[in-house]
Amino acid sequence: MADPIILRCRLNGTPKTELIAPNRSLLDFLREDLGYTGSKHGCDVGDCGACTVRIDGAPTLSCITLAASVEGKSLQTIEGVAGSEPTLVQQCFHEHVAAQCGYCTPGIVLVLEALFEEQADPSEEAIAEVLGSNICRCTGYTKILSAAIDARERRNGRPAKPPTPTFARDL
Amino acid sequence: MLPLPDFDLHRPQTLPEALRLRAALPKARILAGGTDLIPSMKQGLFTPQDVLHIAGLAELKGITVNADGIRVGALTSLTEMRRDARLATLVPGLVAACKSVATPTLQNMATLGGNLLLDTRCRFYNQSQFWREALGGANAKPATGCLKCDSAGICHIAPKGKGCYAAHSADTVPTLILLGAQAELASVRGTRRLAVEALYGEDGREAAPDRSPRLLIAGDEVLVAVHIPTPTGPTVHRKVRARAAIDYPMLLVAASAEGVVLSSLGPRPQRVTGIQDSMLDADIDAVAQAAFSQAFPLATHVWASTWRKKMVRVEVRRALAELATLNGDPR
Amino acid sequence: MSEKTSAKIDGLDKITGRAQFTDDMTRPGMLHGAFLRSPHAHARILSIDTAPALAMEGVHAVLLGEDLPVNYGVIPVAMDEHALAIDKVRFVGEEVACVAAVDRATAIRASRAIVVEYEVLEAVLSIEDAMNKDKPLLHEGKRKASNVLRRVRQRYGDADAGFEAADVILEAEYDYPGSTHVPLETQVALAEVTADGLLTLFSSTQIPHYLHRILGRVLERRMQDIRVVKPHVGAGYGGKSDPFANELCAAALAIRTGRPIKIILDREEVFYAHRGRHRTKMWLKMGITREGKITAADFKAWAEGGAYASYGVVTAYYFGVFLPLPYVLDNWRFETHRCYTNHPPCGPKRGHGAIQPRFALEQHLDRLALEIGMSPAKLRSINSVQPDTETSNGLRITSVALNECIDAVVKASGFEDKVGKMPPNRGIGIAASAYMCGALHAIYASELPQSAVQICADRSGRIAIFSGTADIGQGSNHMLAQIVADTVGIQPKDCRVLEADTDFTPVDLGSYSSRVTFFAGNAAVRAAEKLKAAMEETLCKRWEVESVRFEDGQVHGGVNADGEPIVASFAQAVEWAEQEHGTLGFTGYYTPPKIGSRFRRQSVGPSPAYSFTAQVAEVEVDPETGMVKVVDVWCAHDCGKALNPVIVEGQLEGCVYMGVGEAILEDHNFTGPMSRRGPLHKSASILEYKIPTLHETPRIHSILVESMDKEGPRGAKEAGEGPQLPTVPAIANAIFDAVGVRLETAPFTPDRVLTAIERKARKDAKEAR
Repeated sequence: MADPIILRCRLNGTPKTELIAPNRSLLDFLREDLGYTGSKHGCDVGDCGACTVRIDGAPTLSCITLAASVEGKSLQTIEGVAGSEPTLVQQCFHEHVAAQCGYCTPGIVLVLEALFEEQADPSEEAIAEVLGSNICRCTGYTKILSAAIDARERRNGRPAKPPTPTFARDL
Repeated sequence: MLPLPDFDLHRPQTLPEALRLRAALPKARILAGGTDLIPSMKQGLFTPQDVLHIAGLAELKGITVNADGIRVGALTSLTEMRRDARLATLVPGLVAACKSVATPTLQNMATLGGNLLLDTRCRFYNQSQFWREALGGANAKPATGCLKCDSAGICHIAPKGKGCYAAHSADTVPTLILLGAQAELASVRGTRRLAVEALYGEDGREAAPDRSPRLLIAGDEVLVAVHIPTPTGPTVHRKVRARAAIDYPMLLVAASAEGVVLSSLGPRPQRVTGIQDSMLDADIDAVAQAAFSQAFPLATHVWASTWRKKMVRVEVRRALAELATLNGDPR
Repeated sequence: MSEKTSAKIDGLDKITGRAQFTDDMTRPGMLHGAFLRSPHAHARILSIDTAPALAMEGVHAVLLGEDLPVNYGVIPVAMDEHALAIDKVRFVGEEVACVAAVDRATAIRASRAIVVEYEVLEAVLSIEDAMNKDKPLLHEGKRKASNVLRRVRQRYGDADAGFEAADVILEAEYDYPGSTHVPLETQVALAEVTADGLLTLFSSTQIPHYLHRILGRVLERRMQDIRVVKPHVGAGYGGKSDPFANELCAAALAIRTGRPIKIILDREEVFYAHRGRHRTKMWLKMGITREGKITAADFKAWAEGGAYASYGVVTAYYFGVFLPLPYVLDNWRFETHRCYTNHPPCGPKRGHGAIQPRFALEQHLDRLALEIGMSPAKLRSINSVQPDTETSNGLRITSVALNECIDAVVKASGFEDKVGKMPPNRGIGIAASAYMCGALHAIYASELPQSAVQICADRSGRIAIFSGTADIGQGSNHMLAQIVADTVGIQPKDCRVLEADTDFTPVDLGSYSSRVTFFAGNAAVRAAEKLKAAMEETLCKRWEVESVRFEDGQVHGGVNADGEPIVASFAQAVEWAEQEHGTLGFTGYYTPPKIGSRFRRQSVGPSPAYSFTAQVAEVEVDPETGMVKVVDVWCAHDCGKALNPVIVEGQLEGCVYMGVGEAILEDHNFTGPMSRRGPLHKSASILEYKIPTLHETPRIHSILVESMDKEGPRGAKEAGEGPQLPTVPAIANAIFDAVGVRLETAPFTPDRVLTAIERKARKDAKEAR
C-alpha cells in the first residue's frame, strides 16, 4: 500500500484536512470517508454523470477524479447546494416531478446550477447541451428540461412555466 | 465499486521537477484530466507503480495568441478552449472538435494534451479485467487475450494481421493536423517540436515489434503545448458517433483547403492522398471517392465496419460541402 | 383534491441528495462482498480451490454453490436457479463464488485468487441451437430433455375459417432484439444479523415480499427471523424483480461471518444479472376484410431466454395472450417458445411479453391498411375492443378508451394530413396497445390479499401509511399518500409512508406487472374510507348533522342555527373521533375479483383491468447515413383516472424514452464465437450499450385519457408500462412512411436502415428498367 497523503480542500464551504490513499477516487472519498452520499455510483468509469460534483465551480465526474486532485480546491456536492430552502432549480425539479427514482438527480442539479451561474439566461439549446452530460433512465428528460426552463424563466423574472398536463378532453 | 490499483502519486509543481520525475520514472503514467487514464486503470488496463500527476504545472496551462500563431498549453481544458473568444474566431473548426468530445462535463476535465495522447480504442481492449480474461487472458490455454493488453494474445479484429488495429479516437487531432499544428515536447534533454501529424505510429500498441508504436515520442518526454500557425482559412470537423453525447468517434473527418484527414479508422489519422492540392475548388465526389477507397475500417467498434466505410464517402462529401459554404463557394 | 402542486412527498429528499439508497447505508464493521464469475458460457465445474483467497489478509469467508444448495426461482414452477453455480456454469458472468472481506478491493482481489477448474462444454447460443435436439442440455435431469423451457399453444375460434373469410392475407417474420434495463442504481444488498438472530436485508429490490419468501427457502430459515427492507431504489423497469445472487449471498455471509456485509454489483455485473427483454423471432400471418375487419391471426414466437427461467414461463404466455389486445380477434392461434441459451438470463422488462408481439402486429396492421387502402388510424379504431366485453381468449374487458386515445394522437399530431404526404425522408406512423393493470394471480397460488395498506391517524393531524409496496421511482408512495389524503381532505405531505419493510408493513406482492396503483391503490382507498367513515360518524353525532365534508385540512358540517359555519381542523376531528373509537388504525386490502374464464388454462394474462395507449411518432431519416431521428412522439394513454397528472405524464415520457432506445439504439448482444471461450457481452457498459441521451430523445407530447375504471382506485389504471408498447412499431411505421422501407428487425440502427434503403433503391431501379 502506498503511503497516505494529506488532502486539504474546501467542501461545501468548510475547510477539510483529511488523510487519503493516493488511489482514492474523489467519489469514494466523499461517500465512504466523509459520508456525503448524495453523489452516486452509477457506472464508476465516467459515463453516466451520477457522481457529478463541482470543483472550483466546474461540474466534474468524481468517480474518475482522484481525491488527491482536489488539493487546494473548492468542492461542492449536492449536500452543499440547498440552504435551509431548496434552490430555485431544486424547487422547479420538485414541482415538475423531474426526479423519478432520483438517482441521477443530484448530478443533474449540480450541472444546471453551474450553468445558471455562468449564464443568467441560457438558451434551451445551451440547457440541453449540458444535460447531455448526464444519463437519466426514468424521465425521458422531458420533465428535467421543463423544470430547467421554468427555473430559467423564474430567475429572469419572467412568468413561471409550471407543468400543464394535457387531457384528451381539452384537445 | 471499481478499485484503482495501488500506486505512488507524484505531484510536481514545476515543469523541471516534472521532467526529472519523468526521466526517473519511465514507466509512470502521466495523469492530467484523467478522463481516459482513470477508467482504464479501473479496468485494469494499466497498473502503474507510479502516477505522475501533472495538473499543477502552471507552465502547461493557458492559451496565448501572437503574430506567430496560437499556443495552447497541454493542460488547457477543452472547456477553456471552447470558451476562448480568440480560438472561436481563429480556429472555429478546432473549437467544434473540442465541443464534440464526450460531454460538457468531461470537457471540463479533459485537456488538449490528453486528447492528443489519447490511447487507441477497441471493443476488445476497452473492457474490464474480467471481460478480457473471459476472452482468454494470459492464463488461458491457448492464450487468446487481446494483443494490445497481452503480448501473448491475438488481435481479435484481424487475427492474421500484423499487429494491433485499435482506433485513434482523438477528436481534435484531424483538425490540428490540417492546421499544421506542432507538439512541443520537453524532457530533461531539452525541448523539441514535432508536427502533430508525426506523433502517431502505425500500431495501436505502446510498443510493437516490427511496427512503429502508437506514439512516436520518447519515454522521457512530456507534451507541454500545441502550437498552431495562424490559420489562413476555415477547417471543418465532422464526427460520426452513435449518440450526440457520451460517445467517442466511429469516424472523424476534417477538411480544409489543405486537404482531408480521416481518423478513428485505425491506430493513426490518415491524410487522403492522390487528390488535388487545394480543396478550395475540389471535385467533391472525386475526393470522397478517394477517401472511400483509402479507408479500411476494421471491426474495432460495435457498429459495423462496412457501414463506417460507407460513412467515409458521405462525411467527406459533407465536410467539403460545408467547407465550400464557409469559403463562400456558392456550390 | 389536494393543493395544486403535483410534487411528490419524497421529491425534495431526492433532489437535495438526502434520500437514502441501499449503497448509501453503512454499518460499523461492515464487510464487502465480491463475486468470482464464470469466464465460460457453458462448462462443468471440476474443482474449486478457495484456499488462496482465504489465506489473504482481510478475507473473512468464501461462499460456494454447495453452501446454498436449495434451488429457487421467482416463479415456483420453474425454480432452476442457485445463488452460486453448482456443478455447472451456464453463461459468461455467472456467479461461482462470493468472497467477504474487509473492503471491496480486497474482496475483488481475493475472488481472483480462487482457482476453478472447468471442463468446457459446447454452448447453446441461439434459438436455432436451443431448438436443435442434438445440442447439449443446459439443465440436465429435468422431466423433459429439452432446451425449451416452455412451449405454449392455444387456439381460439377457428383460425382457418377466419383466413377463408379474409380478403387479404399477409404473413411476415419479425425479429426483436434483446435489451436491458440499465437502472442507474446497480443492484445493492446490505445484510446484517442482530444478536437476537434477526437477519435484516436491505436491498434495491422491486419485490420485497417474494425476496422474503425466497430468502426463507434458500437459507432454510424461518421467515419471521428474516426482515427485508427496501430503501430508496434507483429504478428497476423490471430489472430488480428477481432475487439476485448478491442478496442471497449477502444474507448467507452475514450469518456466516456475524458481520454486516454489503454487496454491490458494478455496472458490468448488472449486464450479467440482466433479466431483460428476450430476443424474439416471430412469424405472423393475419387476414383482413376489405372493410378492415381483422378475421384471423396465426402467430409463432421463439424467445431466446438465457440460462435460467426467471419469469420466462410467463413470457411465453404473455406473447400469445397480449397479441390481439387492444383489438377484437375471434379466430386465431399461437404457438410460443421460451428457450434456454448460454447467455445471461432474460426476464421482465417494462412491457414484459407484450412489446414483441406489438412490434410484429402493429407493423402488420400498417401493411394491411396499405393493402386495403384504409387509414392506419381508422383500421385500428374499427377493430378496437369494446368496454364490458370478454375477449375470445377469455379476458374480461371493463373500461376502454382506445378510440379516444387514437383520436387524440391523430388530432394532436395532424396524422391524417401528414401520413404519406410529408417532405422526403420525413415520416409519421401510428400504433396502439393495451396492457394489464396487475396480474390477477399471484406468482404463487394463493387466494390471499395481494396488497394491503394500514393507516393510523394521529391527533397531530398526520396520517401514517404502512404498505408493502416498493416505490422504485414511479411514485407509488405519493400515490398512496394522495389517495389517503384526498379521502379525508388533507395534503399528501401530511401523510408519512412507511413502505417495503416486511417487519412493519402489510404484504404487497411487489412492483411488477403494472399492479401497484390498481392493487395497492384500492387497498389504500379501502383503509382511508374506513377512517373517513369513523370520523364522519363521530362528527355527524357531535354536530348533529347529516353529513360532513373533508376539505383543505378541515372538516365542514355546514352551518349552525345562527348561520355560522360548523368547522373543525382535521387534527381536532381526529381527536374527537379517537375519543369515540379509540386509536384510529384501519386496514384495507385488495384481492382481485375471481374472474371466471371459459378457459381453465388461462391463468396468465387476466387482469382486473387493462390500460390502452395510442401513439404517433414522427421521424426524420438521413437517407445517406441511415440515421433515424425521432423528432416527436404523441402518446395518448387511457390511465383510467390520472390521480396525479404530472406523475402520470412522467410515466408516459419514461415509457416513450425507453421505447425510443429499443427502437433506434439498444441491442443486448454478444460477440460471435470467434473466441473459443465466448460469447462475451458486446456492450456491458453505459458507454457501449447505447441508451439514449437527451439528444436522442424526441419531444414527447403526453395526452391523458380518463376512462374512469369502475374497479380502479378512484377510477385509475396503470401508466408505467403500457405506454411503451406502441413506441417501437410507431417508429417503424414512421420510417416506412419516410423512406418506404419496412424494418422487420430492430433496432433501427443506421447500418440496418441504410442497407434497407439501398436494397429498395436497387429494387426500384430494377423495376424501373
